[in-house]
Amino acid sequence: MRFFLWLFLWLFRWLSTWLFVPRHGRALYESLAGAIAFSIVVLAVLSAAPNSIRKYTIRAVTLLAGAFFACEFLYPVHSMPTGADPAHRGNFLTPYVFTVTTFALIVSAWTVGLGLLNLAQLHGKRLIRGGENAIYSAAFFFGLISVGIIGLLQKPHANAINKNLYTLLYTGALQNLDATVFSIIAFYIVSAAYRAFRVRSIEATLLLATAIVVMLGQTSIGQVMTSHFPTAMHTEVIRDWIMSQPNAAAVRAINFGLAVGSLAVALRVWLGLERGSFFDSQ
Amino acid sequence: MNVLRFLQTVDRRLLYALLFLTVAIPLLHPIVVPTVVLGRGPLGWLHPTFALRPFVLPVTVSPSTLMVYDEIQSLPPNSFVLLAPDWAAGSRGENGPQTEALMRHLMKRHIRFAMVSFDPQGPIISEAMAKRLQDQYGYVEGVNWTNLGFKVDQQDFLKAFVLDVRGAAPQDYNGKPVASEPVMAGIRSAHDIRLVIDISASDSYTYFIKFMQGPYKENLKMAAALTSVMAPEAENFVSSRQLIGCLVGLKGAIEYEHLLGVSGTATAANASLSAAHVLIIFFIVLGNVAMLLERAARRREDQE
Amino acid sequence: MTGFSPWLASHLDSLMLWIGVFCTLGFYSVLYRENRVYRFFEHLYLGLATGVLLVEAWNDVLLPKWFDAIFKQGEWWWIFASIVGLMYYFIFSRKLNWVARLAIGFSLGVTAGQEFQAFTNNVWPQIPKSFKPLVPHPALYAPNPLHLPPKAAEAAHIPLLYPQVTVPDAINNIVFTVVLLCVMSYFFFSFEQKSRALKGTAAMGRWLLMFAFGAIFGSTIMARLALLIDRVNFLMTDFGSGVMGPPGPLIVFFILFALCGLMLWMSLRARARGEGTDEPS
Repeated sequence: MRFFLWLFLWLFRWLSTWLFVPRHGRALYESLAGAIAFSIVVLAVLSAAPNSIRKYTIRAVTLLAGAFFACEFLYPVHSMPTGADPAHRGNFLTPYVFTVTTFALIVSAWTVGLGLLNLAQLHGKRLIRGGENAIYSAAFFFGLISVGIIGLLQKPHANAINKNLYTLLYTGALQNLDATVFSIIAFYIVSAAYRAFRVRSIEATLLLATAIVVMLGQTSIGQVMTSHFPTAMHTEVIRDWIMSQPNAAAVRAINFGLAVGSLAVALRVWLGLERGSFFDSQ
Repeated sequence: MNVLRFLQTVDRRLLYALLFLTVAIPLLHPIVVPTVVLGRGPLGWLHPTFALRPFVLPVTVSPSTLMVYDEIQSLPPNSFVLLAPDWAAGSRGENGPQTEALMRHLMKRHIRFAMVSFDPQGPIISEAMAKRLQDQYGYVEGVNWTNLGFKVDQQDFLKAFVLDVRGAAPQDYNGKPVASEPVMAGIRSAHDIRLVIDISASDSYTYFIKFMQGPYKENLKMAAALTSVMAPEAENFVSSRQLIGCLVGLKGAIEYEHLLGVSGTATAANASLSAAHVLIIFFIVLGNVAMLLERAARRREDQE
Repeated sequence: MTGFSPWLASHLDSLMLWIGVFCTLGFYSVLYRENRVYRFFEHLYLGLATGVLLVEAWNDVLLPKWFDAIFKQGEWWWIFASIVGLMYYFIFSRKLNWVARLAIGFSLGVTAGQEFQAFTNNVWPQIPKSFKPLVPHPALYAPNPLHLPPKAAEAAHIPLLYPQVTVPDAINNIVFTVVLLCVMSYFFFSFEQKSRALKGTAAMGRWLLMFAFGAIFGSTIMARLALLIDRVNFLMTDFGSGVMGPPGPLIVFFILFALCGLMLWMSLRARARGEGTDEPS
């Protein structure tokens, strides 16, 4: 076992000193072409393989991706001072955390286009079909294309017109639309407060009473109303007590349950024990 | 009965209009209260003077806000703080005044700070805010503060950031290399950061706790400034001292401005906030009274 | 086009305010009822938000970490990250759907592997902090042979082992512990709750959860009202003062007041005609 680990590390070090070195000019494009060709070959081999091999490959990828971070966290750490950080502690995997997380970050950034493609598909079909809803899809594409083009041009062509147009669309339109969307809920709350917030049960009464005390405690009006009472009966004191004692305790209990559940699900996903449409795939 | 019928069938748009008026009028003009001052006239008789004086709403600072203020007050000069404005315009009503108040305090104390955001709108809004405030405190971008921009995938970014700050964020929001900026001098890893403040409308502060505050808790403290929706959940972390304190919504911003002795956008909104709360409580009570009256009327009709 | 850039630069602030007002009022038109103007702005918002996400992901992440790293620094191996990222797009293909599952598996694995650290740093510190002292007692110091009182002990630099627990502290801690245990027992779903004690604490937990929900509900109201105050402030102060000068806020207030009146008049008229504009909110 130790021999294989040594062999793996030796191979890794050899690759990192010979293969994974920065290249420029023609060598760079050759390396890129080679990497793409290698990926196509791997995918072609997997494509030709039976479904069961593919299923186990997916599970292996999941296991290895998770194993790195799990081992990095669980393996004992020791002092590893660097020139920049004398207090640095880690293990043999810690120097590679930066590379792996940057890799995962770039992968995540590429997925932004997924939602975009989905929306573009939906609204594109609606626009082509025409009809009374086509104008809304046109508005969607206008917003997307205008801010997309101007925003992407900002870095290579950082001139005044690009900057000002982007500011106009971003600060003038998007920020105001964003702020307004969430402020509409305040009106709905007022309507619901009058029509729907009814004390039909003891639990509802307790909930509403707590809410009213918290609401009064978080405004100056509540403080004015109870300023002449003893300190313990001031609404802001009662509110602080509710938030820091029963509320914090209840939220902690919920947090414990959520955290244990997340860990259980994470373990099941990592070890390939999960069942479902993704995990029982072809 | 007509009144009961009206109460049961009132148009929601009337409620909307009442809410608008309740919010707008205090913004337009401060609340004034009539006061009577008794003085002595020329002949020595009592002479009442009637006047309208602005009604100053009291502000009581909650322990949670005070802990954040005290922590920043106790930071040595030239400390480095990571400010994370993880909010968009959708929560500007609460997170905006909080960010402004915290920035003012950091600038007043001459503390270096860098901003990093995990919301696409965060860097733009916070950069504009910092640029607006910097002249008042003699701050210069790149020298006293910097904006590291938007980062996608908070979890993976923080894992890299705590080990190598400059490697994880090599350029600032304007494309300048971070290593060349005086504000980042000596900042290599999370060991060099004294305080992290997450200003957010979501649970992004939990990622800071999991991947930054937790592993580096000996020297790194964490505070949060959250919208009121998220604050009850954060109380759990304040109770366990994983967060040293938390600003709660617009009220937290009002309290912080009060501590700073500044009258900003939050303080101006205090009267509207109070009035709107009273209106909602009134509607809740009125709605339930109407329901009880209707039940009583129906019971009477059934008995008849 | 040469005249456009200076014109835009000089009128940028007022253009932003006017666009902001149209966007705000366009969205607020839904308060009367669902209409075309609202839907137009809704779709425009969606397009702008998607575009900004795309721009920020490229400018702030892919450009420095991927594009510059490969084409400026020669670190060609980052192409593998984009290959894995682009594998996600095979989710749109029926035949090659499994390729996307490789990428999804990688991301799920990364997240799952980090869950150990996340769980430890999230929950671990809360466990000892949940064991609170339930009985009041004075402060406990290190061995204090002279039996000095607390203030004198502090002055003599005798280390404090345990802080004082007053009667109010003890009561608070009892409340905290009772609420924590009851709510935890309410969320025990792993086995059937047969014991009467467990059923009782679970029922108590359900009642005590109402405190937390009430606090969340009360806080939510403040959040929403704060957002509305910000919008009204923008309309009256930022736009009013910015475009119309000192009397601007009052003018805008009266315009908005008139719009409210118009909305009410239209809804009353619709009601009188028997038209159903009173949709559920």
